Amino acid sequence: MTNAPPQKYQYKAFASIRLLKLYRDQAKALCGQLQNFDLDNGRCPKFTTISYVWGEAHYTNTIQVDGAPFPVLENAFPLLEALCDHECFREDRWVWIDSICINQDDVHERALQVQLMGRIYRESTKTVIWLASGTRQIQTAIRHLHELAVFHQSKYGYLRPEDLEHPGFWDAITRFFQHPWWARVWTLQEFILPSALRFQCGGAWIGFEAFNDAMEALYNCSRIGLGSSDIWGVGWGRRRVRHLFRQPDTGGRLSLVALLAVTGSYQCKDPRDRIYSLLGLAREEDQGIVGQPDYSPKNTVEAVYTKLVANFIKVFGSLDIICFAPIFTSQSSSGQNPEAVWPSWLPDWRVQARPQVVPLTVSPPSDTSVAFGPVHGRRLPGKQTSPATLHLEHSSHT
Amino acid sequence: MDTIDGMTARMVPEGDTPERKSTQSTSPVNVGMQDYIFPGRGDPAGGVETNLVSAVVRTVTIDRNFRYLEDWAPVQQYCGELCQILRQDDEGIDAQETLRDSTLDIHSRLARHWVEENGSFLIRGQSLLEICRSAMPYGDGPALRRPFGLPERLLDTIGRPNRRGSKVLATLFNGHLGLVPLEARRGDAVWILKGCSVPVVLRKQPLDRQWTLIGECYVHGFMNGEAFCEGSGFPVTEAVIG
Repeated sequence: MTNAPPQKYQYKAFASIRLLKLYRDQAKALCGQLQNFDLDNGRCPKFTTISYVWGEAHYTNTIQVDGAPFPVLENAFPLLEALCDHECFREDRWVWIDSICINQDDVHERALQVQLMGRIYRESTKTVIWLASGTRQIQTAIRHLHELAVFHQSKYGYLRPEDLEHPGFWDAITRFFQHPWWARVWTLQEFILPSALRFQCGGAWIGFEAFNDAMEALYNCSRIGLGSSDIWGVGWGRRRVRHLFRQPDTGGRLSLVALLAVTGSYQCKDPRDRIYSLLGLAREEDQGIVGQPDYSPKNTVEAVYTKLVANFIKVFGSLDIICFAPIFTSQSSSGQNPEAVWPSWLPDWRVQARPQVVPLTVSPPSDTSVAFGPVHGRRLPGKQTSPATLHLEHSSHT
Repeated sequence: MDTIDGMTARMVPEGDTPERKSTQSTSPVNVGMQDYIFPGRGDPAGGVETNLVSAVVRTVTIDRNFRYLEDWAPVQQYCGELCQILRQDDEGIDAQETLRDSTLDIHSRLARHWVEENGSFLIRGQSLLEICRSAMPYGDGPALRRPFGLPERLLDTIGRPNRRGSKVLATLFNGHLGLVPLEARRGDAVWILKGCSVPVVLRKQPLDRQWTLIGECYVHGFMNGEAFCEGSGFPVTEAVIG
């Protein structure tokens, strides 16, 4: 017999989710059925997840769910209709959509489901990114992205200016990337985790692979002076993070500070979420230096950001994080009232800073850096040692 | 370890004016009255660096000799590209005007413009234009079909519009070459901090003993811990960054 104390009983966490099945009744009205499933027992059907922007809390439409009227967000209703009627939806009719599948009135349930969120997106068969508002131009943009993708596949080279003489071509592309979905920080993990993705606007859609080719084509356009990364850079950045995240040697986790830099132009309502919203994608050691999210008023934004710097220095023995401060600063270089200003070593992640190809030399311009733009130059095997970079040793060209 | 003495302007399209013109260094090393001596024992072997053009190219492309940089700069090829960009400029007679603009894309024209605009900038006694013109062609003929991407790399480092994180080429008082934040000024100090992967630019506050962090930078020959080598002769001191 050993003297080791018996291990305390460990509860297994619930992994229950609610899925919504959509159909049309005889009067062609949209109806739904909600059912509980367990992600662990193997009896959960294939399902689609949705990534979208909630928008204002207007519940202008109602659908019948299990025979009872159920108010639906103004932004979510057209997406449910489009999904229900879409041909790809014939076989997998189950959907997970947070505003309906989570009981929003139950604070406890909400907290539990938020913790499951990463798993839900990872285990869904596909994620539909719903870009609803500004519909016509975004549908036009999706058509153009398809054209770019085909073009890229067939010639694999430079586009000629005359190939892009559709009227309003760049306006449409610009609107596509200006959709608020791109700037919402919580949508990042919904874009990174799923195995399959598609952008959809009404009946028009483009899958991730075609989107990927279209991005390459847009990059080639910029090389001959058509368009610029100012228009599509936000898409390029997400694409790179997704690529890096899916490299076998990252273990599906990225450096938190690198993620913070990549999402420099993203928005969130609570500035503390600039950090908290990325924990699901960050490495364990980074999660450790942040700790449990604390939304209490006395845990100020400055305290959260200061703690990150202090713990980063302590845990990694590195000062690299302070190099982000001059980029994420509200101070002008001419200097302002020094009392109102944070120390020069403290990055103010609230500041909107567009990610740049070479934001920092602590994160060198390579596939492995926090850089967002196209990478120029050649690759040699090397080793990255800065904890501020997306830690990776080998990766193919994005 | 040193102070910033001269700074070039940022890369801008023809017709635009950069928010700040170049500042010429006046230190004896940069005006050519004194030889440049590399104090460390690392990177540019032998103490005195002779190949200035590759030092300039490596600086403006942030080539860290692949210690952290997987995506390293093919310096020789970059020099070849630089040579091509400038050579086409020299042959820029009217008959070839159209040819020149069709063979040189928008990024290459930006790069050429930057070299011309900052052509008189002095680095260890030589002007930037002289240095760049000494670049040797790489391979044969005019048909380098842009395989290496020096102009794009320059756009990444010194060509970004005035946003946080933009960099410019700088000469330090003792002749070292650097790529420093656009916000830096002449007289700012370059420090190598223990525990930081890259050198930083600090500015002394006039009233107290604290320093303000201006930003990280590249100092050619000091990216791999050379400053901490024995015999580098740099004083080790403490700084309080506020």
